[in-house]
Amino acid sequence: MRSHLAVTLLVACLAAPAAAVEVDLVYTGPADSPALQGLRLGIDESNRQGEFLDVKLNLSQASGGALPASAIAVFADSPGSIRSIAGRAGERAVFNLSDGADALRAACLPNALHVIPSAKMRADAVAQWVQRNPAGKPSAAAWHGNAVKFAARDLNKRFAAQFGTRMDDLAWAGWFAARAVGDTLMREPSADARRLLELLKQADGFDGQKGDAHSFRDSGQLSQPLVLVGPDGELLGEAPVRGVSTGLDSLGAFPCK
Amino acid sequence: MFRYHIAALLLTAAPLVCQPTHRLFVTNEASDSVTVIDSRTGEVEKTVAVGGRPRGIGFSPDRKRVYVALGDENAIGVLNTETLELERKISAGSDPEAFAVHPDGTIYLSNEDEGLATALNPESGEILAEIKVGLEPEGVGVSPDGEQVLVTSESSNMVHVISVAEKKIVANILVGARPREVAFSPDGRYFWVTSEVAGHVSKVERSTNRVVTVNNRLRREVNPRVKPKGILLDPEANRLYVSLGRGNAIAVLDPDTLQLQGSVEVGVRSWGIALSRDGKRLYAANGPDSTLSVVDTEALTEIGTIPTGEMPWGVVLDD
Repeated sequence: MRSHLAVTLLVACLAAPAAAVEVDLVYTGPADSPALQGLRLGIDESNRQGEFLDVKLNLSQASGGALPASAIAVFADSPGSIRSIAGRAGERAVFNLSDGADALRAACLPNALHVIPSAKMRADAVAQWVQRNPAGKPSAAAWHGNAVKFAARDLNKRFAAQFGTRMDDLAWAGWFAARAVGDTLMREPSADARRLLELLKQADGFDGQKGDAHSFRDSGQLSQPLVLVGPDGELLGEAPVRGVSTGLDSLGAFPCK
Repeated sequence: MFRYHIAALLLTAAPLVCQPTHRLFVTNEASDSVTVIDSRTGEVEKTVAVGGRPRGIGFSPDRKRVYVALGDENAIGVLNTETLELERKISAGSDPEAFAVHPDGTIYLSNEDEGLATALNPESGEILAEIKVGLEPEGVGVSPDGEQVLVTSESSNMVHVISVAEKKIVANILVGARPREVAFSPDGRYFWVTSEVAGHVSKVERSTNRVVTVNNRLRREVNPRVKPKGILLDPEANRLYVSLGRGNAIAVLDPDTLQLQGSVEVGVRSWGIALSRDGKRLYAANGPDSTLSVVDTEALTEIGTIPTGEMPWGVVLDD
């Protein structure tokens, strides 16, 4: 009888689902920002993933700049204020969704994760393009609302269906940040903010629906391909520009001291 | 006259019953067609207009029909393997991308934009079940015993294990980013899955639904552009072939250890792959090149290319 019970318990333990994890996350920035729309889509999509794995993400909006103690990561559309938010966030990850300042990357803040490309990354992308196509002077972007390759079509479709507008750079940055947090929590369900930051910085295979795997550099900058956009907003191509440069490090990479 | 009729009947009926056609069928995603190639000569026999955005392709269990997923028509096209006529289109739910055919004839397919897996009876057209899965479901596989169906969710990074009897999910397995296709071992103990963005090939033990081995070195060992997509096992179960997308090559892995045994360069962005029954020829669909590579698997060399329509996606061989 005793041994029978032991076997039953063992089976019950093996069959038990992973512990349910529910985490709070906070957004700080304008309520009408596309970054917040992107975040909402990314949270919804992470929760779709979490339905199968018993993980749930909750998003709140900060009021008056105060960060709720329960939030284990911060999403910020706050140009000019990332340094101060990162300082107040302690060991929590702060996702910078809109500030492209190179100096912010050069500061190598321990808990800032810059999803939006730096000014230097955009300049490098344009320079690669002009090397091959000297006539045009495009701009570089994180995202394009008409992109179709690498399943960009699917993400653009989902965003437009939910918000009735095209996904732009800020919206993509918000979406990506939420998905990166979600995917990291699915793989190691935990409400520990410090551990989450550590895992985010270690991960080397995030999917931004832009083809190559994305990861965070030592500077906190997200390494990612960019798109090149013509004067009429048309999609010209991708950087790194094939045949000119290979590897994501050709876009704005530098070592932290 | 009577005698002549009998003879003609026998001649036409015989191939339907027992002779393979030796035809390759290739879906052309951007030209809404299927290219039909005689695998013995490498000649294109016919290009069949099938409808909007054909991607996934597979045979009925008796191989008399070729099914084609038509994403932009929310349908499965049914092509006659022998006559090469498009016989009909079956409603298949929104945006069908890929599928696998169960030995009982049921088509299990992924509805990419709705995040569903659908079980479809191609004879009656009845949808037997719709099962909610993750985002952008793609690869589908049926276990050798027919008891389970696997569906990969590209944007939710997991493989869903579906019970055929219950038509519901019984397990979810996280793998590297953007899982695209699965292949089973003949004994059903393992399956392998490609992760396109992560660059991984993972081996999963089915009794525990756990990843037991991962090859995450392909970008170092083959080239940095590798994006694993298609996967299949050779008839002897000694080699695992993996198409590498923008890596423009096919990798050969040891199915047990996932160690790289070799690789062969093919065209640009190879996705769909097919293997001859004897294991001697491998075919790979090269999207932007609009070609099908023919590979000698013993020499591991590309021995030719065959023109297809635009953006060839999937390929199957009736041999």
